[in-house]
Amino acid sequence: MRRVAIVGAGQTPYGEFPTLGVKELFAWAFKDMLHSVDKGIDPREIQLAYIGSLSAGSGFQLGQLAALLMGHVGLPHVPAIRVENACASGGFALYSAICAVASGKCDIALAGGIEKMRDVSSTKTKYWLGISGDTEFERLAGLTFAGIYALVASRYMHEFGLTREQLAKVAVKNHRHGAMNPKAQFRREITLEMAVAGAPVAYPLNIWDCCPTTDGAAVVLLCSEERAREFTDHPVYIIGYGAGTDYLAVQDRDCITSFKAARMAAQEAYKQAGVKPEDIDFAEVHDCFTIAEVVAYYDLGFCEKGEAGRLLDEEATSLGGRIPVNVSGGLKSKGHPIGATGCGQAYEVFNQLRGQAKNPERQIKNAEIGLSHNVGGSGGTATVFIYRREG
Amino acid sequence: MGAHISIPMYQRAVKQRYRLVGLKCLKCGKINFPPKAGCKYCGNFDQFEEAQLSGKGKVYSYTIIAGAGAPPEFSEEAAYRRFYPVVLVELDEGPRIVAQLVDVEKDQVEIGMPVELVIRRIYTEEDVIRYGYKFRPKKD
Amino acid sequence: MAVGIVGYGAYLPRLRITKKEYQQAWGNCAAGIKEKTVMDFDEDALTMGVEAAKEALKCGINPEEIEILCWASTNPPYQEKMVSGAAAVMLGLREDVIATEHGQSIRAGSEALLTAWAFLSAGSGRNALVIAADAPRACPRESIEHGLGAGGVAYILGTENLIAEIDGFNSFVNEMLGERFRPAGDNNLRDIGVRAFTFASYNQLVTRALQSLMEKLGRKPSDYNYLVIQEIDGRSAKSVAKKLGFDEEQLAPGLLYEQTGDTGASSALLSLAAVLDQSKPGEKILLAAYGSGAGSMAVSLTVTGAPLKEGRNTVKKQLDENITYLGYAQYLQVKRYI
Ligand SMILES: [Zn+2]
Repeated sequence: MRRVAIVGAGQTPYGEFPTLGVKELFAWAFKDMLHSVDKGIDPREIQLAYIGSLSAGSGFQLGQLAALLMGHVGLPHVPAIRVENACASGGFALYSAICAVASGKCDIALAGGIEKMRDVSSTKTKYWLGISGDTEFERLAGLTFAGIYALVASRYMHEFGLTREQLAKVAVKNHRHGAMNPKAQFRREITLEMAVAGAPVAYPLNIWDCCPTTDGAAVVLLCSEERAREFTDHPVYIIGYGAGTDYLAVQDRDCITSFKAARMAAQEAYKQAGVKPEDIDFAEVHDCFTIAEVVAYYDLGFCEKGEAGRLLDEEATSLGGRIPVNVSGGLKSKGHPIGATGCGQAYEVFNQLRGQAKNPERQIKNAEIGLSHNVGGSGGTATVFIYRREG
Repeated sequence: MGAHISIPMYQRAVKQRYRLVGLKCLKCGKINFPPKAGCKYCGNFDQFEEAQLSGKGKVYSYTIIAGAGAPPEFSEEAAYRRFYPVVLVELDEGPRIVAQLVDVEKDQVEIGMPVELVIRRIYTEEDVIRYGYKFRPKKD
Repeated sequence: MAVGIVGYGAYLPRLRITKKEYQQAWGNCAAGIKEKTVMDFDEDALTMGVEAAKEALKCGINPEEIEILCWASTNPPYQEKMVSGAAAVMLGLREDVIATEHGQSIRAGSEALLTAWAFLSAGSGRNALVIAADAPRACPRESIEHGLGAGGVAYILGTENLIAEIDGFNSFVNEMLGERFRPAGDNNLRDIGVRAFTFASYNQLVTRALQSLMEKLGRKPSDYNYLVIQEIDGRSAKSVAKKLGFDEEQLAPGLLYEQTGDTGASSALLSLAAVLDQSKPGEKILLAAYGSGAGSMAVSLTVTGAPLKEGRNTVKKQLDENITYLGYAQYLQVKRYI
C-alpha cells in the first residue's frame, strides 16, 4: 500500500446559515480547500470523491448527493460516492478516499462531508436525528441520542465514580478552546457552575453536555506520496488509519463504558503508524456529548480504563496540557454538522501540524503527530486517523 | 410522522414486543434477544429454537429523559410526565434490553434495582397503537 | 360437572384523583367517591386486562391450557378490532382459543363470565379465561364524568380445584330510555341527568334479577354471606340491598365505588374478587350486574375451598398501597381530555 498525504483542506465556518444550502456550503469548503494548496491545483486533477452525509438537506434525503455537489463545483464527471455512517460519515469518507489512493486506484482523491441541519424546526430535526441507533429497539424505548449516551454516562459514573463535575469539565474545556476558534459555532466560554446546572436533557446529561445542531461542510484533498510535492512542500501524512464496527444497539454490547468500534479503529491506526498513544501530541475527539470524550480517552489509550476523570482534573487534555484534546472546540463548541465532522477534524489536524491554526492563540507548539477520532451514533462505527507532518 | 417504523416492520417483532420471545442457540445454549440470524455468543447460524424470557431482571443503567428532549413520538406523553425514565435492563437470562420504566418516581431509579416486564402502549402512529414491553419496579 | 372459578386476579392502576380535586376544579363533585382510579398515559383496557390475567394465571394454569377466552370492555382500544388477538399474543395463549368479546353495556363482564361458563359446561374446553377491563369516558363538563374510574379483572374458570362454584344465574333485558348510553360514533357517555329516573331503572332491573334467582334456587337473603351489586354510584347498591333485606355486613366487602369510582364492565367482577379475597369455604355469594337501562344478570356462587394463593395481589392491597395522586390538570392530560 502506498503512503497517502493531505495536501489541502477546507472548511466552512460551522454555525447557522439560513441563506446557504448544501450546494453553497460545499462550494465554500471546496474553495477554501483549493486556496490551502500551497502550490495550487487544477480541480480537474481530482480523480475520485467520497462525500459523507447522514441526511442531506434538512433531514429529507437527497439521493446521489455526491453527484449533485461535485456537479455544483464544476466536476460532474469525477466518480463520486456518498458515504453514510451517521456521525462518522465524514470519517468513513476520508477512510475510503485514503484506501483508494493507497491502493493505487487513483493518485488524487477528495474526501468531504456536509450537513445542513438548521433549516427545520427542532421537532423535525429530532425525527431524523434519532435514526442512527437501532431505531426499532432503542428509539422505540423513548430514547434519543442524548438518552443513549446518558445510559453510557450513568453506567460509567456507577462503575468508575466519574462525577457530574468531571463531565462538565469536558464542556468547559471545549468551550474555552472553541472561543478561540473563528470557525466555531459557539465562541463563548462557560463556567463549571453553568455546565453543572444546565437544563436537564437526559439525566445525567444536561444541555451543556450536548453538542449543537450545525450547518457546515469540510473537504480534504488527498494525494499519493509520489505526487504530494507537486502541490506542497509541507504535506501531512496519514500514517495510520483504522475503522471499527460494533452492534448498532448499545443493548447488544457486552460493555457500554467503552466503544469497541473505536478501540478497534485506534489499535489498527496505532499499529500501522508504529506509534503509541503517548506519542500523540494532540487529538481531535468525537465529543458529541461530554461522556463521549470521556469514553474516548480510554478507547484511544490516553488513560487506563475508568481514569478519564483524573485526566480532566489534571487538565491534561486542555490546551497546554500533556495531550490537548479538541483544541478546535470539538463537536461541543465548534459544532457538529454530522456528515462534515470527520473531515472537519482532519482539517483542524492538517492546520495544526502545519502551524496554521486559525488564531495563533490556540496553535499547539511544535506538534508533530496528531490524531482524529470520529464515532457513528453511539459507537456503531468509528474511524481513527493518525497524522504526521513531514517537511 | 414518526420514526418511520412501518406497521409491517412493527408486526414482524410483535412476539418480541408483546411477550419477549427470544431465540435460544442450540449450539451454545445462550439466548439471543432480539433474535439474530447469527448467534451473538458463538456465531452459530443454523440451530435455534424460540425461548420465552421471564421478563425479570435488574437495571444495568438508566437515564431520565426530560420532556423537551423526548423523540417526537413520545412528546405528548413527555409533556404529561415532564420526565420519564428509560432503563437498560439485564434480564435474568442474560440479554440486555432498553425500555421505559413505569410506575416509579424518578428519584427511585437506581442501578441494580430489580424490575419486571409490563405491557403498555408505546406510542401511536397511523392510528395504530404500538404496544410493547416496558418495565416497572419488581413487586414481591 | 361443576364449573367454577379456579383463579382470579385484579388490576387497579396506581393513579388516583380525589373528590377534593373535583371540588376545587368545578366547585363540587357530583359522584359519591372519596377518590377514584385513573389509568396511566400508556395504559388502556387491554393493558389493564392483561395485567389482571397475568395475576390470575398465577393460580398455576398454563396459558397453553386456556381453550376459551371471553373479553369484556365498553372501552376497548379500538372501536372495531378484536382485542382477543393482542391479548392472546401478550399472554401466550393458543391460536385456536375460542374467543368471544362483549361490550355493549357495563354488564359485559358478567356476560363474559357466563359465556365462559356455558362453553365449559358444554364440554368445549377445560379452562376458560375471562377478562373484563374498562375505563369509561365522558365529557369533563358533564357530572357523569366525575365518577368514572378504571380497572381490570380476570377469572380462570375450570372444572377442577375450584375456589368457587357457579351454582346459578339468570339474565333480564328491558327497554329503559335515556339511561347511560353513547351515541354511535361518540366516545363520551351520556345520560339524561335525572337521578330518580336512573335509580328507578336500576332498582327495577337489579331487584328483578336478584329476587328471581333466589326464588329459583330456593334461597333467601340470609342464606348468603355476601351480596355484590354492581355500583353505579355511591348509594344505589346500598339502597337496593336494604330493600331486599340484606344487611350492611353482607354488602360491605364488595363495595369499591368510593375508592375506585365506576369501573364499567369490570366493576361487578372486581367487587366479586374483593369478596373472594376474604371468603371462606362453604360461604355463598350472590352477585347482580347491571346493564345500564337495558338489562341485568344475577349469579350465585358457593365458595368450595381450594386454597387461595398466598401473597396474592389482593384488591385491598391495590386499593391502599403504592398510590400516586394526580392534580386535576394532570388528570385531564392523562385522560387525553386536553
Ligand atoms: Zn450460540
